[in-house]
Amino acid sequence: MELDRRKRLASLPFSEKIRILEKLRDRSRTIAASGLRKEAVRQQMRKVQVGRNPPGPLHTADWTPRRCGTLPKHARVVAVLLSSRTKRAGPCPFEGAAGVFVVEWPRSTS
Amino acid sequence: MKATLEMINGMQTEGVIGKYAIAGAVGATFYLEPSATADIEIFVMLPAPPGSSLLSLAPIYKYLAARGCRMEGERIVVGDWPVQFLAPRNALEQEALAEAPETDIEGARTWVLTAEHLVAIALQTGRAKDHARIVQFFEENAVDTDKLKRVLMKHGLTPKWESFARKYLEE
Repeated sequence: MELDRRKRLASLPFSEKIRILEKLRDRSRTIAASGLRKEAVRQQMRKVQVGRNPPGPLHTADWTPRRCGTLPKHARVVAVLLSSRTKRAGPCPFEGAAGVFVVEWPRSTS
Repeated sequence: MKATLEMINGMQTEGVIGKYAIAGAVGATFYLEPSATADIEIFVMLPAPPGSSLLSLAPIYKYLAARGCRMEGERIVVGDWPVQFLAPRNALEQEALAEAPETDIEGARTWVLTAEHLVAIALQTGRAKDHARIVQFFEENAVDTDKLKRVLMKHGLTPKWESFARKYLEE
């Protein structure tokens, strides 16, 4: 049923899809403006222990783990923030290092 | 979106940009169901300034700012859509832009990347959401598999594709 719904949406004329895109975009903006998304991310970040001393304010942008595997349990986590535009093609300098976790900034939210 | 595209077309007519094509989630929506996105990603061919081989997006921002468009982070709001202009950064993206077919959106002439190039670029970019989008293309039979394989082979993405297909497309 879900696949049928998606097929039906995919077969809509593009002008109708644009109306839906615009509604989705406006809903996203409303959520972003309300602070709900930031709060959700903040709550997730609180669950991550970064050493003994909590750091200062953590950046709350969306990010995607990549390249160096999954977050090791109970390990000290060092977030290395790389620009996805400039560093994507390069090797991960911390490959294999315990507890290092590389994240990338998304190029966009699309 | 019509106002956005008309403004970009005007920029093209005045020679600020060359060919452009819609990529990203909006480009994918041309073939798939609509998915939430905050902006339009546009690949753009930039004419090299006389006496220089350096390409810059600055003329785009200058042109649009002079017409009342405002910056929003790395995007610029054109009409009612934030737009992210991207110069192709490798051979695959250059080919995708060059081969993007012309189409018409709400009466405005424009170009959209082919489904096969969108899939190849998503595979190359490789974020979780890119993988999800590739799966969508296959679930909805929106890709010419032979054409995709040719593109992937040409750009050295076949091993990455085989690994992806084993992981996500074989059941």
